[in-house]
Amino acid sequence: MSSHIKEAVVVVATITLALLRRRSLSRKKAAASTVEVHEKSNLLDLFFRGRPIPVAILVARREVLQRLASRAYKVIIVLMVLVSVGAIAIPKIISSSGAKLTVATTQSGVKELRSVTQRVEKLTGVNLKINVEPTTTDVKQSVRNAKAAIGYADSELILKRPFAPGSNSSTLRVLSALSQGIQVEKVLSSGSIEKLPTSVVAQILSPKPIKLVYLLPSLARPKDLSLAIVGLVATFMLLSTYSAWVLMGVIEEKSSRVIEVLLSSISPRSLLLGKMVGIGTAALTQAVTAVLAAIITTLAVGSSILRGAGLEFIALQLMWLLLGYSFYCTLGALAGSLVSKVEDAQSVTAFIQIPLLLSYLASFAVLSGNQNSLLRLLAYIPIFSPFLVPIYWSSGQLGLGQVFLSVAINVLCLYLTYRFASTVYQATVFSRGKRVKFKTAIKLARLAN
Amino acid sequence: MDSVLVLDSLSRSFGEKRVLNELSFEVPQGEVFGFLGPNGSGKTTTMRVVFGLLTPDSGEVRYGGKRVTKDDSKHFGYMPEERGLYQKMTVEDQLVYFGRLHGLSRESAKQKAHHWLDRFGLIEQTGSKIEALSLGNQQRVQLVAALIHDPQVLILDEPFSGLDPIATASMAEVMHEIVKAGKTLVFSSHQLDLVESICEKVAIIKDGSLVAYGDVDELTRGDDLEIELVTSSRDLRWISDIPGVEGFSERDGRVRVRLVEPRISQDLLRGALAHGDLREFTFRKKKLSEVFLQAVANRAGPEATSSEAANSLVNVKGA
Repeated sequence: MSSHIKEAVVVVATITLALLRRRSLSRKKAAASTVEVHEKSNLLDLFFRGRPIPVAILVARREVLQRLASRAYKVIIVLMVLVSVGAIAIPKIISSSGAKLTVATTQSGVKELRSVTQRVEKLTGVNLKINVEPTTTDVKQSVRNAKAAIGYADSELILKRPFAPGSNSSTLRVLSALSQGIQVEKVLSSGSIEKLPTSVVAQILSPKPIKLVYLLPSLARPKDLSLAIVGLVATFMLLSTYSAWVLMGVIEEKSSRVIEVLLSSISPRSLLLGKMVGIGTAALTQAVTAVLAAIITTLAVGSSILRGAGLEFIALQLMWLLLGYSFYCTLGALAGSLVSKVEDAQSVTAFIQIPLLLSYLASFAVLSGNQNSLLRLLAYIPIFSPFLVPIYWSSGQLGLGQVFLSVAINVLCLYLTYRFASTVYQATVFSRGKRVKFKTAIKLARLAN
Repeated sequence: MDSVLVLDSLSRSFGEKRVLNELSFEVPQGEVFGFLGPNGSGKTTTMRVVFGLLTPDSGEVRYGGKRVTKDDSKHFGYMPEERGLYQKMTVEDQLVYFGRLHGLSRESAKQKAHHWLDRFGLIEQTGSKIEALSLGNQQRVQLVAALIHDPQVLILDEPFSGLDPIATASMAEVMHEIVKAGKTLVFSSHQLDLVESICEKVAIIKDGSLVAYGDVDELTRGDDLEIELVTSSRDLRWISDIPGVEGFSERDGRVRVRLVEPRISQDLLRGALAHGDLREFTFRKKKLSEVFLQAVANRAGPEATSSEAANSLVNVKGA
């Protein structure tokens, strides 16, 4: 355990030092800014090999550099890394230092369980609590209601659901140890080992497993809702932050009149696209850094969270984060187009905050086991999909085909929303004074088309 | 001289409000051209239409004899009335960024940025953030941003606003230098004395219509019925004794005489020579501000048609 903690500390320290070093380097570069720009530009020029660089990419590059230089960006990235590392390392550390697990049994099973408890605890590092229930039905009820992780009655071990392949949970380790311990205890209690026939000794060395009873069918994928909850909270936080960046970026450019200089050389659509791609790249850099920190921590502390389905889930979550970002940032750009002053930003944030909040609430309804078919339908509606699809998928309630259908709907709606947003952006780019009403924006878009 | 830019019957409305009303004028190549008008007269809208930032409801803008397309934007440099710079970016990064958006290579943009920053005395500020510069210096950087891609026509909206007299003189000098290099410069300003001293030609608009257009010298030329003279003579009664003098006034040693007809000026000159040392004797020119006020006051109103606008011109030359 202590070695895992040391490794985790080393990982966090390494990441922190790397970030500090980067900051120190950027300060040195700022002192010799000409050198800095030269190096960055060469990379871009190298990629395009003398061909004209699309203006949207130049806009995106400026957005990326601006975000990377901001203090808020650095603070968020450090926080995300710390949360990722903590979310993986802390449960692992806690589980390996005095985790508890409840086993329900009947009066007749208590003796057998108590005879193996000490050995199982030593072997697994998990403290066992034994709850005695009046009947086998009560034991099953206790397991079904999650009051006990494992049940033991009528020489059968009872579990709510089968384990996922590759699972390494403490419950599985306890179950395995209990199964062997009880079997061995049964054999030993039948007489002195010296008097036993060879076949029985062989049976002790390779005991026949105790029958396992599952109360519910296996899920298509592991019901790893802890990961889904982390994904949900992260998606909510990141989409709120990034869509607000786009919204403020659009308003700031309008209010500072930089936009008039820009639009004399670039079309509004290219400007909007570059802005979204730039902020998206900066945003994804944060998300990918957090995932990398999570992977490194997993390897360091030996957590099982990213194995098998966990990795699939993270890949799915990243994809939906990208889709969600694109959609919500388009909404942010649309909302930003409606006002011309930074102080009026508050009046349009509802356009992104309300859908985000509704999606967040709907996600928690699904997590709490709400089976409403209307909720499931929301998984196909773009503002909800980035939140609901990963949860439905991780709980096995949505198949791959349905995920693809939702992706297709999202991509189509994203395209239409982007077209609308860029048209409104173009039509309202010189608007000054009061906020443009949404109805007026629709009218402007119709006129432009 | 050939016209580099022709605005032909431009009209543009925002909702119910007509901002440009059949506006037509031409900008000659290689001159400093003043584009004047009271607040809300449609100057900024006109500039945006020229750049293709706004589409006119009717009419067109021609550059080099051809209708302006989006591709022509590379020939134009624009400095908006309210400064548009990224406050957190360094001067060099910002200028290189704008240059690259206009299609320059990084090296070329950097070279041109350094050239103009040097010309404006800002080379030491290359690595400074915009927010750290004074307003005057921000103004200069904004002008460099408009010049970075070497445009043929430079359109400056209120380039002198917020500048102190030294910065104003420096800006005016640079504007002359740009024109000497064969570029055309169009600018708007409310500092009419400055416009009068810098511009060769002006257009004055009101409510989106042209109310005056022509050479500054032509527009400010008086009617030859007012003479200004400076003389050592203390007793000025001899002036009213000359037949054909309508009246006269004296202020700060300068005498302004109103004549019934221009030929009386010869009698006045002879009288002035006979009554003391004559130091100055000139036909009085109007100030551009007088022309402006007269043109704007004469304008019938926003509903006036283009033909009315043509009739109310103070002076029209080559239109």
